[in-house]
Amino acid sequence: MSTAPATQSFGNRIRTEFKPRRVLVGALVLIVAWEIAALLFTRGMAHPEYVMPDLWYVAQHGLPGLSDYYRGMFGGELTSEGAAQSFRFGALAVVEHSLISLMRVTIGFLVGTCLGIVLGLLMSAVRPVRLAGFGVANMLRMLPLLALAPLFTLWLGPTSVSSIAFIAFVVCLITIIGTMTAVGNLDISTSEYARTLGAGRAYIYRRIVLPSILPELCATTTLCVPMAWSVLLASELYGIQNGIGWMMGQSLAFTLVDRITVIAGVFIVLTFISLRLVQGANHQLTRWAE
Amino acid sequence: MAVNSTTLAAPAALSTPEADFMTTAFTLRNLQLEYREGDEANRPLDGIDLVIPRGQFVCILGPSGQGKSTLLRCLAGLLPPTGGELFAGDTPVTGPGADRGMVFQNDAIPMWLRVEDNVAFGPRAKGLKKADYQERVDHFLDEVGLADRRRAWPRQLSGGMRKRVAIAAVFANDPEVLLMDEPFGALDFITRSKLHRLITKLWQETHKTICFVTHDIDEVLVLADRVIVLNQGKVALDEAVDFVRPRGEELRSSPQANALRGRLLDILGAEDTV
Repeated sequence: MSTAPATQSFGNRIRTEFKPRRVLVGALVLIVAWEIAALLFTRGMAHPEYVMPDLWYVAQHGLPGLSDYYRGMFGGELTSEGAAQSFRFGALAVVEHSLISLMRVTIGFLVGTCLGIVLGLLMSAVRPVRLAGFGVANMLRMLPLLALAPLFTLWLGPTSVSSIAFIAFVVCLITIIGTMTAVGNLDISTSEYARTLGAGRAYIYRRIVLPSILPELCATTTLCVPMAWSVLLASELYGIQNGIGWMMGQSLAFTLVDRITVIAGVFIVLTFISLRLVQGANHQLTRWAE
Repeated sequence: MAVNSTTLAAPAALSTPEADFMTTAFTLRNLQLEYREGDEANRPLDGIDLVIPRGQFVCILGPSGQGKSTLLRCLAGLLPPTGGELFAGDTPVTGPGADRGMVFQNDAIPMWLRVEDNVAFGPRAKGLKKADYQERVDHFLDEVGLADRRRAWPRQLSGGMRKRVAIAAVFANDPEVLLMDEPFGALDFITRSKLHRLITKLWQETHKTICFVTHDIDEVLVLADRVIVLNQGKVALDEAVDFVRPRGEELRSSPQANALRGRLLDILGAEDTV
């Protein structure tokens, strides 16, 4: 019979990877917790659906209610033109506004990540840029970033541009700090080895520094994905007239908790899918390390 | 402290006329490195005078903390000395260069490059076209026995194999000098013996100068044709190791090897260096 050494439990790794089974378990726990909370907190209320409706009510009314936000991207009659609320048009509204939000997040995330890596490397390589930039980046990091959403709408108008710029700004800021930290943690011997093989500074940055910080940068990008969706929500709550954040704002204005719950579910699904995509890309880029 | 110079007339060679640079890999004149820690001055290198001819296999021996790796890093141009003169051939050393390849103690090869890309790193960094270096890369992959693992990632290789990648990469870059900083220190006896045979073979084929830092006397006996013992930043012994090659197991227990081992142990034990 083999027995594990007594000290082994101290060395066990806590597994935090995103696995579909764990997500399902998490969803199940949330559903049960929601039902219990709805049962406890809304007992005796005249209109519990405005506070915390049970999930059966959400399933019956949440998605059809979203038909009101359908703008006709895929054809069909709108509720403002007399059409009745339905599951079909509710789903089309979700798809329509999700596509708009997805476009904003994708562009903002990509621009912010690329810019953040370039600026982070530049700050690591050039002392005056580092002295000027790192302090600013760190100071801005202390700000409650989501609170800047109205400013971006004010500066750039209630458009996709302001939303994308806001997402790019936040992602860029986090990526700059992530990049600089990763460069700071680099093992210098690989760069020295490259220098003794005749590699110049630019070549070393391209072929040594950038690839070697990728595993650490992947952790930063994974952190940035849910952050980008949160920033999107904040930006679409202020003035922009489409996107799932806008749908959320509209539902909040009338305390339509059933619709808010459905939109929250859509957010979770979209964040989960984008996180899986980014993790897949990260996996491809760091195959050598796994 | 016993400072013994034997068969190598180093001091005379230091006043070498310029023409002798053609046959000299390194010339060190009163080389010093000093840094301060608070009020205390540390001198890892304290006036080193050496001439290393081209094609020589020099082992730099000494206990930890006596300046061996520091000296090697100065030769590589990774660490600027604070005093004295240092020439690689006839050129003052002001920084690293492709003429002085280095094999590090730890795994310094880029882990994100496949084996063949690692071996081709130096020629590519110099901007050579693939046609100009591919044959050389293939040759050294073959020499180190990794031709069939050319598409592997370094993490898929053993520690000994990764060392072979580093050795092939440095040789494929065709430097004048190879600097090796305790490259086999972390490997088991069998792997080390194999790598000793490999590096000796490559050295004999290519006639490169090799400066090899070690704290293992047996490694000196097997590899070196000259041993320099460093003690507290100074040259404590500089002696030729003129055993016939190839040097097999029988050499380690031969009377002449035992005599040299005894001398080296005397020098290493003459000072309290622990």
